[in-house]
Amino acid sequence: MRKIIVTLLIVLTGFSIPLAIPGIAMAQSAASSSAPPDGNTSGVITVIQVDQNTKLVGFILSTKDGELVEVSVDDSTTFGLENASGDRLVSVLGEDPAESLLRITDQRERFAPVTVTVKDGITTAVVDREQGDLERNLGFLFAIYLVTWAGFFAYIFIVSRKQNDLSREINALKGQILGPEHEAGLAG
Amino acid sequence: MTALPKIRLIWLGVTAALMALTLWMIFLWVPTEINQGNIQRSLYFHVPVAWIAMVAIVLVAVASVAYLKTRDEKWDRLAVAGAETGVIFAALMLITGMVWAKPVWGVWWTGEPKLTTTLILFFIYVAYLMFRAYFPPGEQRRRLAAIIGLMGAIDTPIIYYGAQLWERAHPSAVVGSDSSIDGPIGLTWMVATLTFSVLFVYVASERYRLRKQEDEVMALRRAISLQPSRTPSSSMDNAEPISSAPAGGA
Repeated sequence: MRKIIVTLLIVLTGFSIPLAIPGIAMAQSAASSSAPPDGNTSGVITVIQVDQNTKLVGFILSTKDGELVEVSVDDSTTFGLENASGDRLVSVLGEDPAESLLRITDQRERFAPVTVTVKDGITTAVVDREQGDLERNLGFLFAIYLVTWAGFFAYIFIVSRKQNDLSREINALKGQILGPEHEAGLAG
Repeated sequence: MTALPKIRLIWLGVTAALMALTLWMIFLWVPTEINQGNIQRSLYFHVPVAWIAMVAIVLVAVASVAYLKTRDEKWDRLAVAGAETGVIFAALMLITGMVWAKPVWGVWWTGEPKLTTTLILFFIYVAYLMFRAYFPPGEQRRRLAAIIGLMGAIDTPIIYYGAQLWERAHPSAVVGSDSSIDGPIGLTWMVATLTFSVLFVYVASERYRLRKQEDEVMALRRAISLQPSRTPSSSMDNAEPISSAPAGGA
């Protein structure tokens, strides 16, 4: 039996390590991302790049397809971003680099998607993602709550049933040890 | 009614009331998040569940240390209760996270560090429980399980700081951090975290009680096996549960 347990533990550990390595490697190799194509690209900001003067020079987007896109910005890039309190910034990077960096950081921290517009290889605009239908994905929401509740109720039900079974067994075993007096006490 | 069931009943009532309040806040009170839409409401469950999954492994580690120091079986029971409850929360964390990721990220799963280390946490729980299930009962099992539980807790800070350390797609920690999320969204998160913490205490205490009953059954079987005149062929290892036991003692 011990051999089986040790084998399973080794298999589990061996399974976990290869899973961890690609994740860590991905984190360290952000340079493997590609430049965005001309047109619009949407995604969430994962990495912000600044120069030695802490001026924004670019960022990495994670798109819906899981691809990493490295976006470079310059002084002519327009920013149209709203922060959590609804205050909207519309400016070009060259006019207000500090605020642009703040907004980009805010977008990343809130996990708020952005859309980048690229023309002839130059990033012309970074804006909030076009708002879609807020009522979408209700099926996913329902699934999450269903799974959570089903999980808890199933577990509590199993624990409760085992408790009752064990209570009965404890009384039966006590009855065997103490004899008819215990049985009579329970009946009374 | 004895004092203990009364406390459990009150605790269950508090949990139910808090859960009702949480659901009201999630679905009727807090506004819809502008970027993700309604699917963001799932995070009011996902984040607290994830938080509790990490707290549970810390509980396992603390109970394991206490057991190794005192050799008191109550700490071992607490570690088991923490691990089994923790594996439920960890499984729910993974499932709810995947269902959220599909519409928001476009994929069910990515190999990013926070997700990977969380999956490892789940495997640590599973390994801990498998070890306890298959290893022969006794002092050696409790001692080795305590060591596994201790090692498992190392994963917790890696998960918690994973998003900050590796700057990947997963949002940074919300619970227990200097988060900028405030207003109705922050308040709903706080209430949901409190509610799931209370639920965790309730579920873990029920599991603790079950473990205590299991130990009591083992002790009674051992006592019966030492009474040759009453149970000549019984022993602790081959004793079967008594299915026709008298009811009414629960």
